[in-house]
Amino acid sequence: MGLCRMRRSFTAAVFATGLLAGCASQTELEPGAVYDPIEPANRMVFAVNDTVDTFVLQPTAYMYKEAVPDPVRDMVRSFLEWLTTPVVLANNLFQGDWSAAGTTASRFVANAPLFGFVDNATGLGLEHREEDFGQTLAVYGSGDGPYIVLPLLGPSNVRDTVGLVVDYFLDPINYVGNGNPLERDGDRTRVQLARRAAGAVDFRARNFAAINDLKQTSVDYYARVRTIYKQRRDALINNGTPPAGAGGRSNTSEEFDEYVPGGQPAESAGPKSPSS
Amino acid sequence: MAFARVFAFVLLVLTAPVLARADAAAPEAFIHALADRALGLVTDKAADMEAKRARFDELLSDTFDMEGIGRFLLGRYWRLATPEEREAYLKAFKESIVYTYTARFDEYAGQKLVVDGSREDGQFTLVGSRIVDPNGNADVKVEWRLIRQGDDYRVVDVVIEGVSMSVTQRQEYASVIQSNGGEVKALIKALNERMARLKSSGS
Repeated sequence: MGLCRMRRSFTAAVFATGLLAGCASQTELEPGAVYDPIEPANRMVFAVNDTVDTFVLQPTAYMYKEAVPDPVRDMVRSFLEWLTTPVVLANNLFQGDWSAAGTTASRFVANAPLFGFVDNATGLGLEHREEDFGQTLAVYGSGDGPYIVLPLLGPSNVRDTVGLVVDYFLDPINYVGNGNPLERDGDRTRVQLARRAAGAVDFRARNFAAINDLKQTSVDYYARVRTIYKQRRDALINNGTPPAGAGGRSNTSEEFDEYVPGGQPAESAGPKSPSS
Repeated sequence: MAFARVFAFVLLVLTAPVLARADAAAPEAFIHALADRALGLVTDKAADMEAKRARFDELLSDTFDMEGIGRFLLGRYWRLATPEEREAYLKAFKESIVYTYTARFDEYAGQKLVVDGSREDGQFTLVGSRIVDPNGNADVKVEWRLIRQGDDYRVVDVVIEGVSMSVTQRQEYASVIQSNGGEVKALIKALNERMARLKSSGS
């Protein structure tokens, strides 16, 4: 049963990826812009998420940050990260990145004696790197697809949403014990929910001032988060190094092609007019 | 999903001290000098907020291509703006930068900036650096996009863990203008309103 569902989700993933490849050329966007055809719906979900943040997540994170001492919070964070090892490792392997797979496996072993609560691996030069199936799809040439804001989970796009689903089924926690991964009740679901919630509180607490600042100082919070999501995902996909064949260029170089320094006549500075 | 953490550091970048290297080449030396000057400002306990804002304003004018950046952020809408709108926008944009950054000065906690090297990219020079945290947090990668101005350089963009501050602002501004029928006036109004909000919340 579980296997059957898993196969179905893989089929869906392959199908969706095919769609994305088709989408890639369909719209002409300015360099750096995010394709967001369902913006009104996204803005609504975003507003709901933001409300949940203000009234639930932010106060919880604040209490957690103030009440729980630093070293304990570090342990929580290490443990949550340690639990992601199987999914990260699987994606290292899917991407054919053997050296990263070695690092992931070594990290797991180095931190295993204390069940991931203490991160000794980073000190040994084995640094954690996020990998997920969304990134794997990108490595195989999938475009982002339309931007989507997911309820509670936040900013995403079609590719990364497919990735989330696949990662869910890749996670061995879902196959421990009886039943199938989609079972509504049961300990496994509770474990998964607890883990997601803890992850959200931990993330919010670590970035407490930064996220508040992001909100307060923006003139369009939705648009700011949307572009940051895209840039951050692109950086993760490239693992911090510019894409091959880009020469000395960086991710955002294309945007600066039309840059005109200050001090030059303003009229010659105008980039292409909007009618083009 | 760690993109938000990254934003906290943009503010710290400007405030980080520097591990000086005697043999530093010109663009690297420029970043060293910039960081040193910013650190002197951040750690100056004697100066009050007003004085810090004035000095930070000066630092920006001396080391950032504020006019070019301001124009870049408006993108294709620069052409559509009247001279009065351009002036009002540049003023509001600079004021908001000064205000947001100086408000975060007290978050500085001993981070250091290590400059790794530089490379050419068209008319620009990219300088790679890292913020090293004394409290054992992972390094944060910071890339500076510089443009030559005479014998000197000016900063055009700061990229933190892959997130470009200039591109982020540009996308945000474009969204505000687009959802207001392409009016640059609407952006100026939004910037000024935000400024008033920040000032009244007092920081």
